[in-house]
This record gives sequence, C-alpha cells and structure tokens, in this order.
Amino acid sequence: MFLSGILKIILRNFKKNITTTLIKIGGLAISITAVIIIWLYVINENKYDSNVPDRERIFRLDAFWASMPSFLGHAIMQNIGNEVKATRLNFWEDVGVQVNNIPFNIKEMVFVDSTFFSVFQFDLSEGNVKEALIRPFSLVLSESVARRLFGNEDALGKIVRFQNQYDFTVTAIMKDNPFLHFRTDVLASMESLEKIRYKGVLKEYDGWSYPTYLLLPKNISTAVSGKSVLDLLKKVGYKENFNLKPFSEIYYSHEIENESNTRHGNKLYNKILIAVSVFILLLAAINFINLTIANAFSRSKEVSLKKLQGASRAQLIFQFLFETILFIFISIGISLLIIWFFNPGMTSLTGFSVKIGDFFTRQNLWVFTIGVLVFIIISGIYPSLYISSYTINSGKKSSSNRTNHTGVRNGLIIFQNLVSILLICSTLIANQQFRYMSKKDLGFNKNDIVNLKINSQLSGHLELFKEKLLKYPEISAVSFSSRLPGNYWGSWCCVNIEGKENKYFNNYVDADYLKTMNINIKEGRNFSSENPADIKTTYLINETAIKLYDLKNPVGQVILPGNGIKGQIIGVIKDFHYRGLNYELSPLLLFYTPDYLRFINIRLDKKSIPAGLAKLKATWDELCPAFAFEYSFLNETYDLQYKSEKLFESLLFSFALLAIFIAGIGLFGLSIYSTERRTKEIGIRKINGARISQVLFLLNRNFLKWVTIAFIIACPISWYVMQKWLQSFAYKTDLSIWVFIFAGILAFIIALISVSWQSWRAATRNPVEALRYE
Amino acid sequence: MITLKHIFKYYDSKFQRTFVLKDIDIQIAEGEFVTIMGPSGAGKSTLLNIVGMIDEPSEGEYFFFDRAVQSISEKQRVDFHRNYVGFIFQAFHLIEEMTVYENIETPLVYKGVKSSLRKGMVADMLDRFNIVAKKDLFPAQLSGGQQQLVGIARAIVGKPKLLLADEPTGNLHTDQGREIMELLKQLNHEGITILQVTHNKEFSMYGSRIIRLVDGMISSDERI
Repeated sequence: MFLSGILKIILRNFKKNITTTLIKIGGLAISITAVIIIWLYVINENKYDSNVPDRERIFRLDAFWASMPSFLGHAIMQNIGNEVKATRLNFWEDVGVQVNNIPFNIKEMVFVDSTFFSVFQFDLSEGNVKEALIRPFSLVLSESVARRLFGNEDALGKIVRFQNQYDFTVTAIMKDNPFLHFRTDVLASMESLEKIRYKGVLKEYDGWSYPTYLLLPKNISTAVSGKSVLDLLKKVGYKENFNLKPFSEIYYSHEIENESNTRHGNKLYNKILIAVSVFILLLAAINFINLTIANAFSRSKEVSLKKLQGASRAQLIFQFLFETILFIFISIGISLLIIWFFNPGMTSLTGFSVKIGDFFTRQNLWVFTIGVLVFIIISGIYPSLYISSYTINSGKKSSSNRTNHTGVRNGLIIFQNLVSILLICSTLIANQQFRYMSKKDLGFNKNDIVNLKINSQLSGHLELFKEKLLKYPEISAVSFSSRLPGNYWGSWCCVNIEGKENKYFNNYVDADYLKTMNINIKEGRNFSSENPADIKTTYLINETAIKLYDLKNPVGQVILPGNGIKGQIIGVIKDFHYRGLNYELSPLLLFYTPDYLRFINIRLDKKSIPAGLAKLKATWDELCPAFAFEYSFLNETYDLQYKSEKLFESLLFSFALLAIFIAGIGLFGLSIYSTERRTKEIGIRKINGARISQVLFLLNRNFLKWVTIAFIIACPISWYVMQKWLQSFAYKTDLSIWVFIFAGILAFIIALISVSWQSWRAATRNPVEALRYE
Repeated sequence: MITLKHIFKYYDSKFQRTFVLKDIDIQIAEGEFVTIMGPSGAGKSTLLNIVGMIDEPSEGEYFFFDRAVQSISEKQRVDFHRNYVGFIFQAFHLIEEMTVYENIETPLVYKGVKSSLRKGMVADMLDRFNIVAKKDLFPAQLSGGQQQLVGIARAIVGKPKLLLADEPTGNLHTDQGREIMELLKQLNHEGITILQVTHNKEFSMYGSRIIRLVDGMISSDERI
C-alpha cells in the first residue's frame, strides 16, 4: 500500500516534469545501450579459444617466428608421439575448389596431421574422429561450408575437387568453430601434401611454414614434458631458441612473424573499451545526480510537508531510492528495445552481431546485478540523502546549505565536459592521422588496381591471359607478383652483399611490376622482358637497403640472397611503403622470376572501372572456367591493415558523440532549473533596465566557466594519450595546437546551445509574468 | 502541556547578533486556545516553529508534557510529529502531486495505520468537512477555503493533542476565515489544544488567551 502510494506520486512527478524525466531516462537508456554493446563486444572477444578442451595443456612451438619446418613435427610424432600429441598445420588461402563442376572459392584451408583431433578435441557432427584425417585426400568440412558447397544434401562421402586437379573425399563434418584464432572451415589430411607437392615434403629439415601445436600429457607437469620436447629438438639438430607458447595466450599476444592466419585480439582495446564503458556509466550517473539534485528544489516542499506529517527520514530516502530504481529499470528496458531494434545496423557497423541471449549467462548476470546495484548506490544514495535532508526551514532560508551542493554539482559538470573534450580531441587527432596517411605519398599508386589470385588452371597460360587483357582499352597495365602491398611480406635471412649478411624482405615480380604499381627507378634500370638473361639473375634493391647496408655503388654489385642464386643488382628503386605506415621502411629485394608468382596486378582506367571489371571476368571465365572469379581492390587490401586502428577511431568517434550528447543534455537539464530558480531575479533585473544580452550573459556565465576549466584540464591529458596512440605508427602527423583549439570551441558551442535554449526563453520573457506570483 | 523557559532565538552574522526571540516564558495547559499576535517580524512564526519542533531555540528550555525537547532524539521527534501535533499553514501547503484524499491520508500512512482503518478515518473527515465530492481533485483545482479545509482535515485526522496554526485565515476572504475559525473553536471544544498566530483582531477573539509579541519579547499575556 505504501509502495503503490509512492508509485502514484512518482508517476505524477514524471508527468509534471516531463522534459527532465525524458532527459533523464533518455540519457540513461542511451548510455546503458552503449555499455551493453561494449560488454557484449568484450564478451565476444573473450570467447576466442575459450571452449577448447584441455586448452591449458595445448602449446604452440615458437622460435622467433611461429612456423616450423615439417621435419620438426615429424620428429616429435616419431620419437615421443606416445606422450606428446603433435599436429602440424599448413595454411592455404583463396583455394579454388569444384563441386560437380561448379567453382567455389575457399578463403582459408588448412592441411593438418591425422592427430589434429587428438590435440584439438572438437566435436564432429558426422564421421569418425580417429579415421577422418588418416588417408590422403581426406577432407573435413565445417557445417556451414558443407551447407555452402552441398546445400541440403548430406556431404559425407562426397567428392570435392581441389584446384581442378585432385579429388578429395569428405570424411567428416565438424561443428562450426568461429571463436578460434585460426580458421577450421576446411581441414585436409596432411598426407595429401606428399601427393600435391612432392614426396618427402613432410620430412624437410628446412622450409619454415608449418605452425606446430602440441598437447602435453596430463599426468606430468607441463614444465617437465615441455622440456623433453625442447631437448628432443636440440637432439635432432636444431639450434634455434624454441619456446612453448600457451595456446590460450596466443589470441591476445602480439603478432609475431610468419604466424600464417593467426587472428589476434587487442587486450589494450578491450581495456580501453571497458574503461570507456565505466566512464559512460559515470557520465550518466552524474547527469542523473545533477538533475535529481536540481529537481530537489521543487521537491523540497513535498519533502518538508511529509516530514511534518510524520515521515521519518528513512521513509523519504526509501521513496527517492525507489524512484531512482524505477528510472534505472525503465531505462534498461528501453535500451534493450533499442538494441533489439537497431541490431541489424549495429552488426554492419561493428562487425559483430549483438545477441542479448549471450548476455544472460550466469556470470554476466552477476556482473549485471552488481553493476546495477553499484549504479543505484552511486546515482541514488547521494540525491536521496540530499533531498530528504530538507525541512521547512532549510527550504526557506539556509542558503549556506545549498552552496555546498552546487560545489559538488559544478565539479560533476566539469568532469563531464572534461570527458567529452578529451574524446573530441582524441577523435580529431586520430582523424588527422588517417588524413595524413591517406595523403602521404606511398611511393606507389594503390588506387585503381585489381588483384586476382593465380590458380593451377591459370598458371599454365599467364602470358596469354595478360595479352588478352592488354587488348582492352580499360586495362592499362598487367603484372605478376608473389606478394601484395599491405599483406605481410616474408622476411628472409640473409643476403650476402660485399661480404656482409643482411636481413631483407622480398617479392617475386615480372618486368611490368614497376610500371603497374607506378614505382620509380632512382638509378640503373628495370628488368627487361626483351632480355631473357635478366630472369633469375638480376635484382632490384630499394633505397632503404642502400642506406642500411651502407652501399656506395650498388648498381652492378653481385649479391647472394637466401635463395642461393647469385645475381647482379641492376637498379635502385625509390622507396615505397609495401607495408603500412605503422611500419618503418625496411630493405627490399625484387626478384625477377616466373616462379612462385601468386597474384595478378591489373591497373584499370580510373574512368571505366566497372567496364574493366566486366572485361576481366569475361576473360577469366574464358581461360579459367573451373575457378570462381574472385577479385579484390588493392587499396582495400592495403587499408585492411589499419583495421584495428580504424575501428579504434570509429569507436572513439561514437563515444565522443555520446559523451557530447550526455554532457549536453546534462547542461540543458541543469539550465532548466537554474533559470527557473532565478525567474524572479531576472524579472527584477529587466524591470531595472537589463538588456537581453546582459541577462543571457548572466545566465550562461557559470556554465561557460565550467567548460573552460574542463578544457584547460583536458588538453594536456588528451595530448599525452594521443601521443601514446600515435607511437604505434612509424609515420605520424604532428599534433597541432589547432586540434585543441577546435575541440575547445566545439565544446563551447555545444555548451552554449544546450544552455541558451533555456536562458533565451527566460531572458526574453515578460518580467511582469515572472513577478506576478510573488 | 507546553512549558517554555527563557527561550532565545538569534542569528549571528559577522558583526552583530540579531535577536528574533528574547527571553520567552510561556506555559500552556491542555485544552487552551491561545492566539499569538504582533506586528511583522515580531517572532510569532519562529515561536510557533519552535513549539512545533521544526526549529530549535538558541538558548532556553522547552518541555512538552514534562519531556525536555532540547534533548530528544530524531526518532522521538518523528514520533512527536506523528502522534501529538498537527499543522495548519497560511499557504495551505498541500502536496500538489496528491489528491485531496491522499493528502488527508498521508499522516495516517506514516503513522502506520492499517489500510482498512485509514479508509474509514479519511471518509469521516471528508464527511465532516463536506468535501466528499472533491476527494479525487488535486489542490490546484480547489478554492482557497476548500484547500484550507483539506489542510485542517489533514492536520486533525491523526487525532493530535496540539494543533499549530500559522495565520490559517491569512489567504482567505473574511467569510471563509470566519468559517475556519468556527471550526477551530469547535475542535478546541472537542479537546484539542490550539496555538494560532494571526494579525486579525476579530479572529483573535475566538481563543481563550492572547499573547502579544513585540520585537521578540512578550508585551502582554491576557485571558479573555
């Protein structure tokens, strides 16, 4: 009965102060939405590698890079295979397969040893774990790939043709495993490589391209069994410094070299996001507190009267706490609605789908409940204590009591604006960096280039394909290469120049590569297709190599790279950023050879890209019907390497907007009350001849003072933070003072708008109206 | 019932002490109807607030039924408001978000009276003051006299021993005022002690005793 009475009063108060009620609930609901999304994102990230059985006993062999020679896994299986389960992985990208003569492209395919399922004990939905990967040309598909290739038919036992050459039999179907640091869509038996590549390929002492995973035995400590593995490697003759990287640490660890298709999360970003979510909640709580306290003035009469009727303080505190709780639950309800409603849009924005169901695990519910409780305590207790402290007398005169609380309130307002200015600054700086990167001369032109992948059918008549393409006016240049700018270019050791050994990166190209990519020659000459003697015996080197290797007369030097083929440097090319601007330039050798070519680079005419693509597809389908036509634009491939930085920027941007919004409505709500309270004063001032501008100044002065203070504190903090962020780029923009000034002005304008909304109304009102009620 | 001994009330500012009440000695017995009169700023309302335990004296002793008020706890004070005293104000001070019915019911809710009992008690009040038809209206929808009726109903629904009225007729027409004063007189006859503040000579005559305050001091105390 008591509760329902309170409820009635609360609802009537909602109606009476409809604007502020909406501001309170709206601000809270939007903040809660943001926080839930952030949490779901982090929860999603933490799912990676988390549901693999016995994960604490799984390790990956690492040296200074993550791929091992095939012999190494072979040796472990031969010698201590009874105790330590080992599996080698060999990743293939963009593999063309055919099912009943229909071509499909498999993004990632991995060859694994028959022991794969004893290391990673995944569930199969069809087939036998023990036998699935023993025979050559066995294939295990994930459920979703099976559905893609075979539709509703049962895929088990069906044939999948690999690169239009080898027939693989589907021996098992496994459950989808999207939260793993490597893709397991399509697994093929390792033994097949002996047939596809050449005999003995699985026992090679060199050739580091097999990430190797181990499952250490249960009854012995991992330190002991791990050491026996490392001892064995030493015994069979490897001098490298191996270590065992725990499986569960891989996803969040830094990228190391030759990790193949390992996917990484960024724990720092997770932490930043969680911090941001806490900040957002704080901002929302502050708004809530500020608006409630401001509102307290109009509630003071109700409070003091109730006290006179015999309400105890506890009862009043309870009433206001109950009101806060009601507000919070309404807001949570609305935010769940928002998420449900905008989920499709959000999926395209953030790249992950928000499933509320994910949220309601037992652990999260605990976090959720505790979070709500903490929020209630933060945002509810203080205002309740404050409001319930009113008595008839303090409502009337004791102004000293109120000024204390304005201090708290001003502090909170400063904090809010501080956060929003911080975020504006950071967003602007991040944006400036991306503008800088897109404007910076990369040393080559990544625009208007389409890349195709070379496959077994095409590799037979590459020259014919090129010839046909060059006949079209829409296509201006075609070249072949083994690597794409923006992807990882393998680092090699070592090239022997002037008796010194040096590390280098390489790319196998043809004579048209420089022309297609618009790379300039600084000295010497390009490879010549007219001169067959150039092939495999000549090299191009970049400026950075000249500088780092300290070469005086590079052109004409005879060098011995890691491939063991002696040759001559015939030219020096200008530096170009084949890796993103987050990396320093590094030494590069271009090899002129028809071997190992994997990509076709095609420069299209800027004005006729769709037409050019159509010609490409037509030529492809003519020469290479067994493979699906898959293409990519080089600039997109190149920009993919900034993906996490871009994500960071767009997150910053949305949080900046959110913080501005929250701070804005906070100011707006406060100005409603402060002008309401000063109605009489404004009336008197106007009667005594104050101009509208003077009244406006009077009302806005305080708010603008807080923004200024916030600005002064925010500048050094954001300068420090963004300086740190920029350090992840080797090439970075200068932090200009204008960014800060602009952010300050922006915050000022926003504050001015949110405050003036009310103060303008108050300032222009007829003073008689204001004074009539006295 | 009420004993005030050497009550002082003053405010200290930087350079001077401003006295509101100076050395007040009053005894009020149960069943009296006392009127406090005096010019503006004489300290009438302050005195009433001190008696109603809304304000505290700066010096002096106050006994309510032999209990020293200056040393009672917060809990006892809430108890005092719940069970012993009712307030009537010049500006009515009804809670605007509540209906007439709910306003009258409020003290009973805080007193912890059972819902079924409450209904009857509020209905009695509505009956007695002839405002049954208005029970679902909000204060803003009533005339001043009607609002004050509700105010009185709220003040006495909890059957207090003491009724404190701060210029109860100040915002009313003379006719409405007379009506209210008649009502107070009747309540006094039923046994409630009443302490009222008023400017109005006519209305002061409804009581049994008039205390005049000038500049915070008692200038006269006469029985009628």
